[in-house]
Amino acid sequence: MENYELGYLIGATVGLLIGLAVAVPLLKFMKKDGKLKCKYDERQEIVRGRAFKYGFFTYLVYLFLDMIYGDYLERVMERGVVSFAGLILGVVVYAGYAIWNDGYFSLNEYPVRVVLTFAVLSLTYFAVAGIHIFALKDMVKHGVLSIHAITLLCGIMMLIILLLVLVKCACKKGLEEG
Amino acid sequence: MKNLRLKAARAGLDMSQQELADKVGVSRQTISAIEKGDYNPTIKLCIAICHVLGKTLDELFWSDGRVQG
Repeated sequence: MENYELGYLIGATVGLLIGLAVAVPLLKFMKKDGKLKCKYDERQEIVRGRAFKYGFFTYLVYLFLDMIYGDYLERVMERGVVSFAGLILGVVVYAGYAIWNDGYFSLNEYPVRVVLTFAVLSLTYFAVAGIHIFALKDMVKHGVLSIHAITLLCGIMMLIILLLVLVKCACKKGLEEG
Repeated sequence: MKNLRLKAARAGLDMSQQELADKVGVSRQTISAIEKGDYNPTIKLCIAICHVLGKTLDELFWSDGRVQG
């Protein structure tokens, strides 16, 4: 194995472990009972089931379209970015449906803490993307969006989800108590 | 079909949707959906709601042989 590949594998593994070390306490922080598991009521489970279905089929359709138009997409973005964009789209559809139908936040979650976490994550992703664009100047290589664009996509995804939550809250305010 | 009986029973105890939801163990939006007729609860949830509100299934969810959403 070349040194570059070994270095990449070690770096990715360490990054994953650090990510887990940050994510686990963060997930507990967002919960009222300090546990990792989310609790949903029966209606929310149904909504989430539909949301997963719509997200999954969105991703399937994207894969199908990628099969047909993938070569053209690779003229503007690297293969990794094309593939990841499909995942992002599926997640946004899933989260959007769940949020709009009150199935996103679990019973044992603090919605405000979740929203704040999303805001911080979104800003972090945009900050890292900004570094790649303005400092490292490696977001675009040879006129094609490089793999670093994934950070930007993640930031956009978090921002869309955050906006959906805020819009839903704003719409709900006037409809409290039916 | 709206479930006005559930809403009336809840209001009769001066209970908010959130309070009823907390006691039953569901989200406020679920209680709202049941009252608006947008969601048909399972029998288990119906029984839990009846228990909290001190009513019977007939009084809250059944009327003239038809299920009230």
